[in-house]
Amino acid sequence: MKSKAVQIAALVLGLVAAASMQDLSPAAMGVKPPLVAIVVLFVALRMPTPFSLATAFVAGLFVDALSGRPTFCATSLMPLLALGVRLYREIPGERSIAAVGAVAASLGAVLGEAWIAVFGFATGDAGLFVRMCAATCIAAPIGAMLFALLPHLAKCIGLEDE
Amino acid sequence: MKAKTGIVSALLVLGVFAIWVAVGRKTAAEVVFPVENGACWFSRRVVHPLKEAMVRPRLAAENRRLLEQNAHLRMALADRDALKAENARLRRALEFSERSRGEWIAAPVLSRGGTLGLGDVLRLGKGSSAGIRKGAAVAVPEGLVGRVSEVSPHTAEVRLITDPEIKVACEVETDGGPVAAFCIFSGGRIMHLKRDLVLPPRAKIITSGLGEVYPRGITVGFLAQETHEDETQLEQEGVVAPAVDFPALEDVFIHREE
Repeated sequence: MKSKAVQIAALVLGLVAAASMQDLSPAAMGVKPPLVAIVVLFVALRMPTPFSLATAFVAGLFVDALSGRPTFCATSLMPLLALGVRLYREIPGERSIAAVGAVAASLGAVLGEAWIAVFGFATGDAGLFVRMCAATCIAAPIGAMLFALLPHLAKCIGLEDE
Repeated sequence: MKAKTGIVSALLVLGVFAIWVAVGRKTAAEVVFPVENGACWFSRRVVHPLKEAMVRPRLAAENRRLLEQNAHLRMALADRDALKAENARLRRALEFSERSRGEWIAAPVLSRGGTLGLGDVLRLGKGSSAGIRKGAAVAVPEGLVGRVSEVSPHTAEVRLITDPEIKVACEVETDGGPVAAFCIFSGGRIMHLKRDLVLPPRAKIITSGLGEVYPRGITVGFLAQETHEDETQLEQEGVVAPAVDFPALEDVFIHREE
């Protein structure tokens, strides 16, 4: 069990790396891979609610700051995703971690696109439906891959299941 | 006791939020700058040379062509310097003030679209430490790119001219000839054209320099369709194809006032 400070530092570094990669990624149909949202979902599945909500809030602030738009879109979305994925975890049944990642990331990405539309931000040439489809296609494989990979990284920093 | 802790926590969150709204954008841009700059460096110093090594013969031919072009450009530059000197002398003689003073600073494009993938934002790898200021015009040789909306010490955020919130004072140029009309460019359209004006197809739209945000004479785009009456039926508007291929941008120039 690593100290809390090391865990928080690792989490902050992870969020910075995810935000940078998301920012650098090329957009397909105006959609970028939701790497920060996937990290938030992963943390929400493994950590207690207050900690995961705080992480989601900070991640949302970070995403908004790098989006070039007024703050509040991702800041309000990320805590919702964190709460939503905890509800999803309550549904009984055996699921692989990759399947959980694919489903959670896809739903999160679709909700994210709807959220952007609600906030009325320009969405380029592609319409909302096209963006939602593109978001699902991009988020599902990346979510599955990261959810399979992240537990190993989490173990290294002592981020055990709650 | 629990209520007290809750109130204190809520106030703390609000405080953090308020501070973040004030300085967060610059801080976040600076935090990710090393990673994005590193990725940019890796792409230019490692990936590009590897790609170039695979297309060497074609590069040799292109190099010869560019050398010739360079010689032509140096000749043109010499002519331009002479014209500039003459222009300055005539301005002094007529006591005209200069329309725009300043220089263009090259900056690499670090990322496009921000984290949410909204297509009308660019992040550049030069900031206030290079003398860039909020509101500065951004362009490439092909035409106008946009305007700096936020600056941190090492980065600058640019809103593209395709953003409907960006408005550019323009004039219409026909075949390099005299100016036909003044108008406003916003969100891919020109507005407030005189009702009786007839413009040729693909008329060139350039910045007028009015408002002193964008220097005069930068190409904004070309008229894509015939102009038509606007809602008020008092003026005309038209669709404009931007001169710049925004997704292909790798380096841009930021205008720095003297």
